[in-house]
Amino acid sequence: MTDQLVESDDKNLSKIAINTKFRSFRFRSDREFFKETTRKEQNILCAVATKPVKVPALKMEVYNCKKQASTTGAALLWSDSSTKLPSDKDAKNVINGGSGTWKFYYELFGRNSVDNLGMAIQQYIHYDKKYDNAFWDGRRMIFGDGDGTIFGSFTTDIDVIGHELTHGVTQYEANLEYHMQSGALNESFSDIFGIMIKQRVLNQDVKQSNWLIGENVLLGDQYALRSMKAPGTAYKSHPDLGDDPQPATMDAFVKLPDTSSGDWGGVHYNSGIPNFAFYVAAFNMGGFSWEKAGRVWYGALTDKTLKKSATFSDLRKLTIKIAGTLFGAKSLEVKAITDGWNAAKVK
Amino acid sequence: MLITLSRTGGIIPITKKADAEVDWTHNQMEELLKAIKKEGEGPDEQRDATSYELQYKGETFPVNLEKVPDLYKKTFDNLKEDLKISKPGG
Repeated sequence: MTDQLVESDDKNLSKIAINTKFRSFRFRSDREFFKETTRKEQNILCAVATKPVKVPALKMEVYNCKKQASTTGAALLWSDSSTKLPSDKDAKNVINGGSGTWKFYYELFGRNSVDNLGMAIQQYIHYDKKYDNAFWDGRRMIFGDGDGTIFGSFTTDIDVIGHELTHGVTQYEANLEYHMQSGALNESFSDIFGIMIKQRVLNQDVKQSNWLIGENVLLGDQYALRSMKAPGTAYKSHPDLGDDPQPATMDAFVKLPDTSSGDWGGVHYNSGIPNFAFYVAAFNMGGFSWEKAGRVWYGALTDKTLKKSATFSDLRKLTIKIAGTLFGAKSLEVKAITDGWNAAKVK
Repeated sequence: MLITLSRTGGIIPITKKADAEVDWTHNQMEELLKAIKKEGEGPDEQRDATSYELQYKGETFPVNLEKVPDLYKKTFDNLKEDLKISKPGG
């Protein structure tokens, strides 16, 4: 039939027919060729035909504020396209901390940066003179050098860097309101992911970790900013700070005014309660904290049902539910998480 | 007159304060406050950041120290330098 059409006086019909004949020949030819190939040869040919996949990569910039209390005139010190690491120690710290944090979220949870859309991590160092703090301002990280007496540089602990970047993750996920119990949960998620990021970089399991946040930032061998294993013990009789005020259990919940000077209802105080619940849960599960407990808490942070105004009880229910889905309702993991919240006296 | 600068907030919540005796006129003080006074930030903007307040004649004003006019810069630089922990947390 095709041969007859090729001979047709109609030039268009003739052209279509010869093309059809040519394609048919090629398909038959390809089929014959593939019939003769081995499985290995077929796999190679199929792999060649696959489109290249774009792998997400870390994007980061480090700026020097040159001791000014502003980011406006900060100078770019390093970016991910730089060929050499900077000599500045704080810059190296934040590059290491930012990379460790990005890898943690990407390699374990497939999350591409703070916003999960590949946002560049911008880190500003040497902010202000003797500035004893580090914070996430909604778009970037800012680090002070510390006063050199009570506080060292705020870049020295990777858990502090992970803590601050996790405020960014929380902002793009549950967006927990930063006051009262939801604010304490916001702080707690930052401590929990901060400590897991440190443990992963150091390859520490739940028994090897000291569960301390900011052990180098607060100067003095016996001090740290917070203890997740034993909230309220990170510093004792500190000459300037006194005693660590964090509670570990709900019956010691600290009531403070919902103002800046009241720490917005004690968000940095009462975070000790969910921190302790996580510690007990992760410790009872054993192994590396990020493998099981971390999956559950990340699941909770990104779960659409976690309200902005969530309470400790809400998170208790949600983590138990997620663990049930991941590991089974009667699993040891569900028991470990239930025991964790019970130890923190959260019902 | 006595003015007090206080700083609150931070990854470890502490309150720091410093005082200074200044001989500014009432009009100068009004001009200064007009330049640096800001709306208090809500908690969702602040997180672990710190914030400054200026106390003057029994009133407290949230302030932005980046906007301090040149005439008063030295005083505020000294106040910042002198900030001491007044009490941990609230």
